[in-house]
Amino acid sequence: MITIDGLTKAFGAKRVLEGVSLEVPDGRNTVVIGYSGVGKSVMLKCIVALLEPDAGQVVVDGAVVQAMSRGELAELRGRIGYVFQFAALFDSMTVAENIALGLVKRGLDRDTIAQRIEESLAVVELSGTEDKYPAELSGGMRKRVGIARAVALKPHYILYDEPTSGLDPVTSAVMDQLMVRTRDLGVTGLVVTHDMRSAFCVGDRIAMLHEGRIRQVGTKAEIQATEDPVVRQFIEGRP
Amino acid sequence: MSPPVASRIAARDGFVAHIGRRSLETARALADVRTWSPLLMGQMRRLGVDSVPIALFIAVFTGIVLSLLSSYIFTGAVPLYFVGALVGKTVMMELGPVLTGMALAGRVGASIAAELGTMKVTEQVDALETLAYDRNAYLVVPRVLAATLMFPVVTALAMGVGITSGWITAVNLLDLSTPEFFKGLKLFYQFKDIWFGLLKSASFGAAVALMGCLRGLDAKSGAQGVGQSTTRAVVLGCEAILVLDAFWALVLL
Amino acid sequence: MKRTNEFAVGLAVLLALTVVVAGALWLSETDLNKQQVTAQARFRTVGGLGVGAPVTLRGVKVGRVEAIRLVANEWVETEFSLDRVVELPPKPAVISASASLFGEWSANIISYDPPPTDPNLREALAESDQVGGDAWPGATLPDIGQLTAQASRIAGDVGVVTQRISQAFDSTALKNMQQSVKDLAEISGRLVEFAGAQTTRIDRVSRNVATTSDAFAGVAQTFQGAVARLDTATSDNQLKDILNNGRASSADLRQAAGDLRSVMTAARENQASLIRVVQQADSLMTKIQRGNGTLGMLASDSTLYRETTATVIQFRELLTDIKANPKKYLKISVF
Repeated sequence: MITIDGLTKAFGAKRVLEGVSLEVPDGRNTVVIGYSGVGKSVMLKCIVALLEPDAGQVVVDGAVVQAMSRGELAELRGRIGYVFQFAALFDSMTVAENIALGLVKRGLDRDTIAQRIEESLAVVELSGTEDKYPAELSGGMRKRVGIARAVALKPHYILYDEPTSGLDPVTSAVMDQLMVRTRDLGVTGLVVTHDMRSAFCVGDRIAMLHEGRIRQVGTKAEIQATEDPVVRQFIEGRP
Repeated sequence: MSPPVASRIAARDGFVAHIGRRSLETARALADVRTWSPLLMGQMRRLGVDSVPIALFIAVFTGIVLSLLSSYIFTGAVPLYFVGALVGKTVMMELGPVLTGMALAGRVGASIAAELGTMKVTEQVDALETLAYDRNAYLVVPRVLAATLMFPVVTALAMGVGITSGWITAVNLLDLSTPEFFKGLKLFYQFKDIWFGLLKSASFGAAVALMGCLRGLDAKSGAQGVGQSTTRAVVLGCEAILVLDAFWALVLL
Repeated sequence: MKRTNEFAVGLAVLLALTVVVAGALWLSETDLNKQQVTAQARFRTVGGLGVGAPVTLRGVKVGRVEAIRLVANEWVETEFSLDRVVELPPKPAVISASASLFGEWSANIISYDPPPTDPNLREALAESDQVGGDAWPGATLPDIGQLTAQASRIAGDVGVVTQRISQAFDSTALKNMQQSVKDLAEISGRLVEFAGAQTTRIDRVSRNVATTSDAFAGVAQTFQGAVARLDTATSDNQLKDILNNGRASSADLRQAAGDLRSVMTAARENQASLIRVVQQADSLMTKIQRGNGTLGMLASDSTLYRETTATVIQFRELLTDIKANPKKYLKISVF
């Protein structure tokens, strides 16, 4: 379980997070919605210590991330997959090499790595693209490779940063399916998005991040029936 | 020191401390041999071997100019065979390492900064970290190490070519015979001259690559950010070369 | 890709290594095959000798100075590496001397037996030899500046000497003789000039030598005329012989001066120094100086005759040598 506790983060004078607290229960997909630039990605990066919060902490499986040594952090990152908004594939490597990178670090043998690459590409339905370079792939394909890269590590958690942004509706739907499928494989997901269709499709629990705090958190049904005007406005997409 | 604490320090103190901290991180990342060793050869090829043509190009013309200039200076006052001494000494001790270093600061420093800068702004560096890699061990160490090892190699070749071109110029364009040129070349030669130049170039390599990595990893988002960090990497690399050059002259001569 | 990387890097490294190692070996003139032996020499001072300076034997480079260190009792010990094939003198000694006006020095191996004519050198070598041990005796020649100063001092002494001679001949019967001696004083004055000119322009040196020898010829003639009357006092035309010798010498000297000038243009090398010339001049002067005590008794004492004849012969030898090996004396071209 991931517990976010009173997370505060400012960039210079701009205060992004002002005490975010959220629980991510195991085995389910938690979706965090919110306006663009509200700090959803910042929150994700604090979870894997890519960013250091000014205050507050993140507890993963009972251990405080901010107090971890370098070695512990590396171990933690092995348990948490991260799917970047723009996939962040290494453009000097082929798809297979991208996926293999994290596996090599784990010290897996060649056969296992090859097998994992095949499996994870099969999950995202991109079998046969092993030897392609990221530049040869479409945006949606790159994102799926990003997911494959995370899935290949067999993590307990996957953090998705805007998985459907910039994709056409059909590809978005494919991504949603993927996220559901990985949850069914037993992976806990934390999805950050502002795409409500995707949020309702993927999320078992939905939280709204607004003005640096969690405005409301609840099940899909609870959020759909919310009476909070800010949340309502957001989920209904009214101007 | 865990990275969050380190970044907290970086936010507060100045540039020099920043360089120091990065260097320390790089030094510490050296221990992670398994991460950087497979990448080293590729970087040595890219930063070192691929830089040989530009370095040799510069060396050829340095030799020619030195030969002609020194003959001009010596006319009437000093025997012409001193051209050999001047070409040899300056190419081995100063112009070989420094000009090669400068050229490679442009080529290597810029390419590192641009590459790492792009990786930084496209979150590839973050992605590396989430795959449990240490960015210093994976990105910085192989580059700095490769540059440190390969700069002397490139410089040694440049020295050879520079002196050769100086010799060819002296024989063909000046009224100087081959034995005379070599007599001058050997006149003041000490073994120190060569290793002094090579040691210098190794330090230049480390500095140039480190500046490139530093500026690349600190790149602000966007194409302009990457461009800026590239420019600053080259400028910083050249400055570092000149400072180190003076330092070695002070310490070793 | 990986393979080609390794190949390219390996190739570059090997090439660079070849350049560095071959270059370093070649430049430092290290021959890996050459068998080398080491030798030590002991000096009071090594002058400007430095590590890496050449070691020569009869003018040929046979090794280099490897180390120089201060040792007990105010000695300096130098270590040389020498080619094994070189045949050294049975008892070698080492003279450290400047090889050119640029301040390059070299160590020259000579034979200790017979010792060099220069008394200072001889003394220094003997002192060094007394210490014993493996180290060869060594001595250092003063550099060019000191030598020219020395030369002008000697020339000054000659001036004093000739003045004394002129006093010795201060009688009416020997008036002409006195005149010729005065001329001799003038020559010695020119010698002072000569010494001064060494340091500036060698071209002028040769001119001075020419003038000096002209004057010397004149002096010799006058001298002969004057001394003709003394012939009766000397039993067997000894003085005449002296003067004939003197005239021949001056002619030689004049010719040598002409040769010098022609040699000058050709001699562009500057490894050797004035040292030998001045060294020779030094011993010459010493002899003249030694002879002067008896010069007062010119008319009656044959010691003077022997001394003077020896001096003149020595002088002629020097001139012949200059003519035969001009480069030996004239490798001092100032740039």
